[in-house]
Amino acid sequence: MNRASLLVAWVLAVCAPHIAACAPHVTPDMTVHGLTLPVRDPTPRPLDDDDPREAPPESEPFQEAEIPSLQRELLSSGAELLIQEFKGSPFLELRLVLRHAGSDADGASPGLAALTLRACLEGGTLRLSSKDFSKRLAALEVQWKTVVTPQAATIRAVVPKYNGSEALALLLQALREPRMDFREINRLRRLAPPPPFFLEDPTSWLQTLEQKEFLRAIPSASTASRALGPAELRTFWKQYFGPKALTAVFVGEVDPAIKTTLEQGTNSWKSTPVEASQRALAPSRERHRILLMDRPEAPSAEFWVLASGPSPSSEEWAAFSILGELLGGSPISRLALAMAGSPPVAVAPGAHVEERSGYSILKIHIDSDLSRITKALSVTLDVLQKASEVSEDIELQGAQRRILAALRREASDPRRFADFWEQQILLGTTEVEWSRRAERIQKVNVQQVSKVAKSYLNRGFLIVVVGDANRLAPALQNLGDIVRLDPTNGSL
Amino acid sequence: MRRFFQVAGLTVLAITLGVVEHAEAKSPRSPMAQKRPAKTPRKRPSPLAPAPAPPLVASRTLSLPPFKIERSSLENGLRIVLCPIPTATSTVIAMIYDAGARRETMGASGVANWVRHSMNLGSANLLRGEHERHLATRGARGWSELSSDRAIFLTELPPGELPLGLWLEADRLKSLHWISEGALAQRDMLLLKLQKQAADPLQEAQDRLRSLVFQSFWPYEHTPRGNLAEVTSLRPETAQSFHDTFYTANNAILVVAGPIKAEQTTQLVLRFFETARRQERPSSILPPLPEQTSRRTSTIDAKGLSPRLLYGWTTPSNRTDDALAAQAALHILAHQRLPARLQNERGLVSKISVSQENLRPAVFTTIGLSLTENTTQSEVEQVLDTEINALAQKGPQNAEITMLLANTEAHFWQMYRDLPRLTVYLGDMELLYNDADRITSSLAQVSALTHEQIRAAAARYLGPTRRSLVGIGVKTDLVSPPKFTPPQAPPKGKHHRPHRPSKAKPRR
Repeated sequence: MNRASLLVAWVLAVCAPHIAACAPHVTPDMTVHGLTLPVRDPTPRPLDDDDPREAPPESEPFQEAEIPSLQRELLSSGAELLIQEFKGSPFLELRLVLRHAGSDADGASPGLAALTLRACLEGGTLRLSSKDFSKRLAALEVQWKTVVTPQAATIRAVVPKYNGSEALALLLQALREPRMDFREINRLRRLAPPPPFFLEDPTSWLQTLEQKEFLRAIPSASTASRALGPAELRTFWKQYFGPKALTAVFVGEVDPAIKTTLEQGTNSWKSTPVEASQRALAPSRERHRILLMDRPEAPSAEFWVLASGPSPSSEEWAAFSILGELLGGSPISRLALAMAGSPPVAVAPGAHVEERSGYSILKIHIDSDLSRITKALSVTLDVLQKASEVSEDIELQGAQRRILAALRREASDPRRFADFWEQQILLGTTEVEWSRRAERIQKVNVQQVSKVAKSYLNRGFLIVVVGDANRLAPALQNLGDIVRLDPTNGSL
Repeated sequence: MRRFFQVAGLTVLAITLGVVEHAEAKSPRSPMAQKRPAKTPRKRPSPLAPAPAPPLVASRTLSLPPFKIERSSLENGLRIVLCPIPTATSTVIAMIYDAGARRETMGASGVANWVRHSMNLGSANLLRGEHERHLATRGARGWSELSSDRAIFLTELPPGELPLGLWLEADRLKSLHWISEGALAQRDMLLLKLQKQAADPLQEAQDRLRSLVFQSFWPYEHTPRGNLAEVTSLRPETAQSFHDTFYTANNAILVVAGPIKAEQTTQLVLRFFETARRQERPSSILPPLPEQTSRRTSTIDAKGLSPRLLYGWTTPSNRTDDALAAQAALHILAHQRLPARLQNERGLVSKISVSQENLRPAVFTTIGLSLTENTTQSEVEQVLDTEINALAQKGPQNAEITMLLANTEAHFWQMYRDLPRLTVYLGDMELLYNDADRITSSLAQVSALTHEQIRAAAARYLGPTRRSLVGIGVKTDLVSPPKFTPPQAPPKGKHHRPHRPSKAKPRR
């Protein structure tokens, strides 16, 4: 080897790392359906000693905050008491969950569950008129609202901790001995909101749709909510309201007298509720089902892709949650990277997993304009098809950290904490779930994520597209069966 | 839902509490990281009552969360607000720039929004997108918000990641790489969003209401999002110039809340931010908002939505003495009287939503009413006028006061647990009124209000000539047929009482 060759070799050996360091840190572009998309490398760029750029600071060691464990007790009346200690707040978060009095239980009469709960709280009791009851609640400074989900009917309240027992006694009185006065029910019926339709409330509409599409149908829905009377309400109340179907959750500095109040308030409550049967999952689809919501001449368009996943109490749940996070939970998610570019294919794509009783659901939402929406849908389906290709630990670690951070946020606020327990009651996962949950997330590995992706994303999805139907329908025909919907219509 | 309304409404009320007295930051800043003493609230004699009136009385002792606010500033003018909360499980950083849409010039609306979206273009240390990448891989999240007054960048970090958050925020303040290509890509993204919002009738109604409320007052009359056509024609140089002018250390406030130690955090802030540039600060002085002397109305097509009415009011910004009373009056109206009368008693409205925006010239309050079937505008107006008149003549009732005080107290406790909201609140207080520390005396100030002050504020600020209205698909002058339908006889049962006809007259 001559001296010139040696010199070249030496120069290359010295400079190669520096040349490499100067190269842009991007992975090869991604090609999807003939469209080339720039893909950014999700790994942080390592800096060597000669790099003039400053490296971000390392993480500092920290000690995980200790969360007091949940106290759980079954009272002689059959009511369940859950207490989550939360120091330093003058308020008490209170949840009274009637576990089977949800909208799924109202069967043939939509709106019955919601109206029954409202009639209890706003229609007066056998001892108090509605006005007196309302005044008593206000005097105790109770801020409350009612929530009816497919599984349950719940009272959510926040009350100064010194008034906790009195407020509980009053609320139990309303549930135990409602007046069910015809005039009051008439008044409340008028205030009942119409079924959600897309333009007014897309989130509620989508939830109703989800129940309809992923669970087996409820027997015929024939009675309109406006025609409900005291007889129907009373029958429903007798069937689903009672101490054996009641769980009371308290988060805050809880006075021990609360337990006595709950016992006294439920012991005299003579009722034997029948448990509602849980709706079974509908069979999975072979082909995509497309619901096309027509917005004539709208320049923008959007779509949702929904896929059902494992039950929250199953071992696969943690991996499925991480999969949702990897797909669309952050600005470096796979969908975000696939949609980026100039011009972008879509704006801020997002995906997350929501928990339901007996199943979980992956929801992806994409916003774009009319000319790019079908391209965005193709990209999304392609990303979902490749979801099982999880190879980088750093991608997984980031997703785990983000989910754990979200979990910590739940425990930082009594209100969120109470909502968390309320949900866990309905999912049937309250046993030591708080500590188990973080553990389950941390233990997930790449293979498990890959496995759930293969199991749950290789099916037909439910796709809801919103935009100018005349222009979108031809492009969507090849993907699956299309059903056209009117956005101003509440019925599904 | 009720609680949501209360929270939304109370946000600005709470801001009002501590900031009656405004002091613009004209005095020279203290030296590097020197602590600024908290101001003591001055006692305000009521101009409305001849003799000192009794203050509002709570049914129990109200308590405020143990806020400890540490205010300081760096030599380059960066203002720092620290709020240690030992029990918090995450840390939130809010970087606030006095770079809201009011800084835009006519014909160039949307530039503030574009710049806000371009703050991840890369820097001397990071490539484009690496800012978010570092946050996401460490389990943190970041987002931003824009109003007419400010752009705010929020980062929520897990324990142990405070240095990363501060470093990233300082990095883009000190050395943002303004690359036209990247900025244009951000504009494309923005245009997609604007296109969607332009087709939304609710958004259109809110924009219309804003333009009515701030009529002929350009900085606040236009929507902070910007006009679609104007954003399309904006040039990268315009945005860059906006960035260079307003994104400087002495035009910014850094708020940190969470399980932090004030001394250590100050050291970190010094380490990362002390070399950030300062330059001559653009003036914040605004001409006064022209007084509204007549009712302003407009209607828009419902485009499929059910009919609704959007009412807008401006009440004094927090620099004036009766701002707090005006906010209390609006709170009682929106959260207590209207739900009781319009919803529960008359059934004219199915949903009431309230939002408030605290702005330099005024507090902008919106009350949205979703009308039930066959309800007309005049029916709603009648109830609204009756309630405002009653409030203006007789003042609030004791039960209303109890609820107002309880809600205010609960609001502060919720904020104590919700760090993003808390940092935004503290940042706004510091930006608009130069005093984040007033949060500690806020509850006492609302308790010191008198019935008479609230009554007088209702009379002065809530009358028909002070409000604006946008109707969405409403029947403005139609008289609907009587809606009273004779009820069916209930089935006889042990607990059923015989039905008595309602005393209420059928609505016209």
